[in-house]
Amino acid sequence: MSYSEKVIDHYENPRNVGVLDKDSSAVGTGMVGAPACGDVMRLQIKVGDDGVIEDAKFKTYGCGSAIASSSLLTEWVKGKTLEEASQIKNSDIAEELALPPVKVHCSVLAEDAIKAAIEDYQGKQSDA
Amino acid sequence: MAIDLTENYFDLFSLPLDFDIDVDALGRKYRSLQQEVHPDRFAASDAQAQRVSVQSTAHLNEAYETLKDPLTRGFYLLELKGIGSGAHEYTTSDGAFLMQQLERREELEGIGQADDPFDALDALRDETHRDEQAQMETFRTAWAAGDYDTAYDALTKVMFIRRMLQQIDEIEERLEDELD
Repeated sequence: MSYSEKVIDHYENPRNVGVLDKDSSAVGTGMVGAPACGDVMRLQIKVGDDGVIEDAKFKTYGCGSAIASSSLLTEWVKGKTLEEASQIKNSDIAEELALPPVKVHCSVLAEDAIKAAIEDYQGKQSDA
Repeated sequence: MAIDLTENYFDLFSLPLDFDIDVDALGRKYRSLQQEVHPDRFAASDAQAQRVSVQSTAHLNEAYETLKDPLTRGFYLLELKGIGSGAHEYTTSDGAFLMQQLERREELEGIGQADDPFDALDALRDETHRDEQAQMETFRTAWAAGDYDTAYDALTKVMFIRRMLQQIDEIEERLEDELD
């Protein structure tokens, strides 16, 4: 199976790899995993007072498609409101990266991760 | 002699339908059934008998492999109870577990820089085996209590742990290659 050029680009030069302070009230952390392939993904967002995502970081242990999906997603969500970010669909990611059908589940993982991160952030706001 | 393909794997090997099985008895029964259905015995028989022999052998091997490994045995037991077949769609929601798995993988990623990488790999492997034993223990308890959701979740976690063990072996091989 051959990867698309975009996947290879994100895989070789992943954007926004790193970690944000998960204990900060401005940070939402999404942890997801796919047991079938053992992939583990952490996606974090830092949200400003205006509800706009200021920063996003990820760390993914998995195949090239999983890394590319999370890398692309962190690029996309920066500057978006939580509402806008929550509307990103895995099919958008799969299409942009030209993922073959057997790798579409990697983009599902990324969508689940951003949803989990938003949920984590919103949970922190209602606790405060 | 044909094998009843509709019989569940435990009945096939005359084992009680339970997680804790006599693995030696499984192996003995497997080998005796294997001899009974082996294609070599049907070399002189008609095409139909040969087909049945091949089909039975494949079914027998599949059944044996499934019951031999506690992970697949556990999933099979749950499948018989109608709980999840195909872990592919499943994402565990246990964030703390996933965080721990991510940290283990980070540790593995940096292990080449350790003073003695092979000692560090052995330690990480032991730790990961203990993770697996702990999850299998959770499965055993939950299965016995009829808590199938918890049981399924524990097996799903073992899948991540097994992948981690594979990666430990891969890194070890790579480090050994670099020494050559």
